Amino acid sequence: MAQILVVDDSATVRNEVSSFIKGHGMTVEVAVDGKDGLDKLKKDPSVKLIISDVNMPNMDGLTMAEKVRSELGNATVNIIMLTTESDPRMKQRGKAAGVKGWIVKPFKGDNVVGSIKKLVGA
Amino acid sequence: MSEETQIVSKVLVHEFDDEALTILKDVCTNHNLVGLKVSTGDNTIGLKDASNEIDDVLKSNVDLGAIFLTEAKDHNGVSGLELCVEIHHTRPELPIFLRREQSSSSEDLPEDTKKAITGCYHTKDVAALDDLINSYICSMYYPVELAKGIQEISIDAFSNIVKDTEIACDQPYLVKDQIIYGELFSLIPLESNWCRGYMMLQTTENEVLELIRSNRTHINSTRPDSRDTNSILNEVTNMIWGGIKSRYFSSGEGPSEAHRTQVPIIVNHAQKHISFGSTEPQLCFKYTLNDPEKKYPSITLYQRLVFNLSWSPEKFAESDKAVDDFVDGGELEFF
Repeated sequence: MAQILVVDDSATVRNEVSSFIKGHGMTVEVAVDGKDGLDKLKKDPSVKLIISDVNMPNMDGLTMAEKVRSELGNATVNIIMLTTESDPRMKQRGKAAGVKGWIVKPFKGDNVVGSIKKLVGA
Repeated sequence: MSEETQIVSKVLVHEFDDEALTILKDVCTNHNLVGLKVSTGDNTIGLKDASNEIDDVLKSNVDLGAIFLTEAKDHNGVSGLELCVEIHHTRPELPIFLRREQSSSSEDLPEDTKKAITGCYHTKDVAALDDLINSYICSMYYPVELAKGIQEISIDAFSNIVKDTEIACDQPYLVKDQIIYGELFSLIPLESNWCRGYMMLQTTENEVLELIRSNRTHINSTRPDSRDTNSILNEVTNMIWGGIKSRYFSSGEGPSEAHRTQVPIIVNHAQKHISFGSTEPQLCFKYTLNDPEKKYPSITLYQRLVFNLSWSPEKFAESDKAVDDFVDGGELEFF
């Protein structure tokens, strides 16, 4: 049972973000792409927050967000994108898919820890 | 590069020898350079004034491609040997070419001078000066703002991926070779309405492994392997790519489908090289990541930008407006 699912094809980012989250007393699961993210969420629907990259092989983060709502029918999990992308059209697509927020990399944990805690109810 | 997209580059000239000035004028004409002469004709001004004169130009909005100095003392007793160190400190990205009196060697120069200058020339060897210009005046092909911006974005990305490091970057330089030798490469397409090509990062696996072993990355592994090195290179490439895209590629300005031509890229493992099949000058940077405590060896990364598919730098200024919309990294923007 994890509170947060971190989805990124980069092991560097997965390690960085998950270590930070664990360091703040929250539980975390990781996935290597959008497809893996959907599978992990199916197995553990109690996840409160997904932090996902956009550009990933197999399935990108925005497609995953759309499928979380449409295919899994999960309307409650919060989704935040953590990406190098800042194109307003992508943000718009995320917003339409029910994405709650957008972080342009790099990940600066101290800047966002308060919001993350709120989103998982910690 | 086609004739109409040729960029005219401005260079600052602090030279007073008539023969050298004549040669420089010819060289500038041949290379599409516009020489801006530093006015130090007044005999009453000294080093401070000559330096201030140059400083004023450096701090103005003039996009300079290079600076030509001479080791001979001018009418005010000021030598380029003194000026170059000062100029290099202010604008390290600008190449400085020093005219020498006896030979084109830099061997006998003090270390700080050698570090500050890009190359030496002698009026008897104009071909050597041509080579220096072809290799180092990036602004003949690439807007200075682009080169400077890419350097800033890349240094930021390296600092975010590699902990506790000091990053040094040499002056940007140009390479026209079709063949690029190396061991570990990453490649990512760069596409906008003014450029189409690739960014490449290049290093060696051992250097990245050493970096991971020294616990200066976010990879926690005592026995790192090539998957870990790939991950590091992948993420740093991704971050630089994202930074370039955000800063220089305005939204909705991608190339149209009709302009999405492609050419094959050759990867030759046996010879350890890669080729884009183009001799267009690649914009290159060399970064050195140093451990401030000097416990671990330095790591060298080469970055190349090759716009082998399309290059229209005259449209770059328009896209530059994207700088105004630059997003602060690391902040959560709620929808």
